[in-house]
Amino acid sequence: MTTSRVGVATDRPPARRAPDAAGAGRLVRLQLRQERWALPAWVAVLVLTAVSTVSAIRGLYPGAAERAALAAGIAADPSLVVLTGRVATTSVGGLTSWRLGVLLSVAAGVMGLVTVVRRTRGDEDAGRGDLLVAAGAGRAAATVAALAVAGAAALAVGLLTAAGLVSQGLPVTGAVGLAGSVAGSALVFAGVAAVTGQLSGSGRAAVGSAVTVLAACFALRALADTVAGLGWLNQVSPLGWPAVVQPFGADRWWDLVRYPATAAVLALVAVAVSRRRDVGVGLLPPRPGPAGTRVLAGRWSLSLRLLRGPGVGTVVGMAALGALAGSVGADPAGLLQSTPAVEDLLRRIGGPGGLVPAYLATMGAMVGLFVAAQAVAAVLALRREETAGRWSLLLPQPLSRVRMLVLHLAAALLWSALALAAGGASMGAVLAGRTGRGGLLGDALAATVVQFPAVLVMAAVAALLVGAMPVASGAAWLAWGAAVVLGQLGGLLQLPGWVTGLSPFAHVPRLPAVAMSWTGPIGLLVLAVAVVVLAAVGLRRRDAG
Amino acid sequence: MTGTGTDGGASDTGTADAPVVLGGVVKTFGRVRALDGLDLEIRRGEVHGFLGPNGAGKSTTVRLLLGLARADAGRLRVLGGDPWRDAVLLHRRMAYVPGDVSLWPGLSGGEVLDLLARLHGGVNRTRRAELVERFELDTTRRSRGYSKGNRQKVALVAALASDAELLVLDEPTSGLDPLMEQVFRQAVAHEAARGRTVLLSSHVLSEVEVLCDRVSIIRAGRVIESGTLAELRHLTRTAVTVELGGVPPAAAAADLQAVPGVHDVAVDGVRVRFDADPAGLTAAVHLLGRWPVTALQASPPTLEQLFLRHYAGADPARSPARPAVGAS
Repeated sequence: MTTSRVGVATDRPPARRAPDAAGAGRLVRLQLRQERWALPAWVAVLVLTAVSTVSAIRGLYPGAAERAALAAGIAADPSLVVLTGRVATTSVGGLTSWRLGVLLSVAAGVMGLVTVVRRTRGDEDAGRGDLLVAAGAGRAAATVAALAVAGAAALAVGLLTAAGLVSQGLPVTGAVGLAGSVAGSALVFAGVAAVTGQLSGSGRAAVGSAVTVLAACFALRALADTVAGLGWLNQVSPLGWPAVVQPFGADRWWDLVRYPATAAVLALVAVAVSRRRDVGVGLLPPRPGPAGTRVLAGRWSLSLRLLRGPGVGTVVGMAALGALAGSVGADPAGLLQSTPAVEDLLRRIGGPGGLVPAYLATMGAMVGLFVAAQAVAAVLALRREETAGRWSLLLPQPLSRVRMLVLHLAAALLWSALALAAGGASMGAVLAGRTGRGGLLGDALAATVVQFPAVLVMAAVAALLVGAMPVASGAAWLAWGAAVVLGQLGGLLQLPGWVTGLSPFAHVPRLPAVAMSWTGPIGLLVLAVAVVVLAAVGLRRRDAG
Repeated sequence: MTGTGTDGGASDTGTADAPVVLGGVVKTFGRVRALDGLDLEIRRGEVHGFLGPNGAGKSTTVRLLLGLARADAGRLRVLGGDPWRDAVLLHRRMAYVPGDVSLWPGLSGGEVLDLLARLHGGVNRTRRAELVERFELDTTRRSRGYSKGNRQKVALVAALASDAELLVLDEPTSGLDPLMEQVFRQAVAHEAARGRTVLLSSHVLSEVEVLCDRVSIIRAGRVIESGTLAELRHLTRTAVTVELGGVPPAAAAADLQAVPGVHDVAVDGVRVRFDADPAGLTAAVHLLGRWPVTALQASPPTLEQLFLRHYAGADPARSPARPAVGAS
């Protein structure tokens, strides 16, 4: 315990030190108000997805025999096992748990980490942290409050999801297990973000680190489910814990304790660091920068530079995902070397393409969705530049708005193209190296690169919002989310073709499982150009900055 | 007294050549009329002070001049072009310093300077190095670590080192320490001497008083006074304090009170204070000449008094019916 060093004026040191979390209660209320739109939206989407999935599975696969056939089909599709794990039981609850366990855990984890970073480092980056600490809040108060807010959101997700599952007629024990896993994931990744928020130099870097941890957990889980002998990895990865808890199967409720226990440890670490850290600065000291630049030759390179961090992250992430997908596909005891019976089944389900091409096409589509997220975020960065007031430095230069938009789009899409190529190349290289079939490199590359026109459309939609409806530009994420839902659940829910066709990814040929067809990609390109023209028109007409 | 500048003919410099001419400009944000028929003329080679209370429309005006926002009505000419339509061409000949400078957190000050220099085109490198030195700017620091004053310096150096004909400075010294303010004044005076035109929006009245050739005062979206400082002073009162030998101050005060154009007469011990407007000053001096004056002090109106008169007080323009709100 230190005594007061400014005690000259006072007769005695303060009786006790003000707690580091002083004011956390008030900050909880402030943060709930700041998050009053985002958190209810997250909770609603998570719960509605859960409820609609149960009713869809019940409606589409009512009989035990139909569900067994579905489970056999899933087991034979390696891309599905990579994404969502193995089916444990073929009851309606078991299939729901297979479909939702990983998907909702990832989504809830993102909710937790985004909320915590936004309300800790995000507020600090904006200068509000100084104000709060100066007003008497403890240095750890924002962290404690953000964890409490994320915890409350996790609780709401858990309770409402459990209630929703039970309302659909599922057993209570399994519903609690599944909902508890989803809520637990939100808690754990809120804790992860609380720690990265203390270590990183800025809020954006903190989100990047936390997402990297999430991706690593996903990779461990995917390896556990696909590579023989690595099943124990599910014990290590919070995203593998649904497979440990086994909702609607063994229902090992006590394993749910892992989530709050892990979150509590992470929270203690975060609070301990936040007591030592300067407000607004990470633990690592900032490095000086160059005194000048020849590289930043102008508008285009500025956008490239601003998008460099997330861009490099996506390229590396897609290369890692590709390597993972490639090694899963090449595993000798694994999924692609399956029995003639499975191959026969797949031929009946998926047409004549065969197992490996179908796998590559599905993984290519997944890479495309991730890269589309990068593209949307990169385009929206332009709007963030505007709200931060930096257009006020750029636009008074001889730089037209349309040129600024187009160059920024080009920079964003250059990173997208690199990420697509990196994902395909690494998937193909690993597959080709392990199997000795060199042609797979080109096949894998084609599977990811063909996604580019769909990524372009998603980026163009984001640009349209930035140009014409800047206040609503965050809605670009709704468009992306819709594409994910249509791609991931459209087939399972047997949605009509015109609905799934709303996603640009539905018009991408499934290379290499089918022959190349140009109509879809060309249509997407034309659409993207038209949308960008609208975006430019909107941007030219509105007030800026 | 409104908009003496836009009348043009009265002045010795012609309007045709004026770098900035705004007439009857209107800009609304939703239901708020930020600019309500604004007239403004800035003549070539002058440093023009732009004054007004918070929310009067100064920054909105500046944003219109830069083509960042589009006027709803009115005439706008900047360097002979339309600031909205010809933005890119005009910006080659303009430089701007925002009041609240936001830099890219990951870039160093030097990188920002180079970036802006390349975007702008014409920048004098020796001049820039000189300015960096005089403003004592550490160009290797990343912008994230800059204080407000240092961010302001980056924008100032970038603007002053450019070869722009028209400098638009929106409260450019907010955050600068007094020494740096001095450097800023010298730099602006230097630019003005080289024939550049400067629009200086500021709240630092001493700065405006020293630097500006002409001043416009904006209030609730309109320019309510415009002219040289001498002209504006002419419109306001002189503060006079006298000590009289042998005359009871109360009696003198009563006499003074009766003079038209003399206001706010007050007795302070042996002294009498009053304000006289230009019309009443002669009569007041005649009256004083009849008394034995032992001490006399007359101070011309400072810009600050001028300013306070327009900012505060019962001015109809600030009536509650029309809230003075705008982007600032």
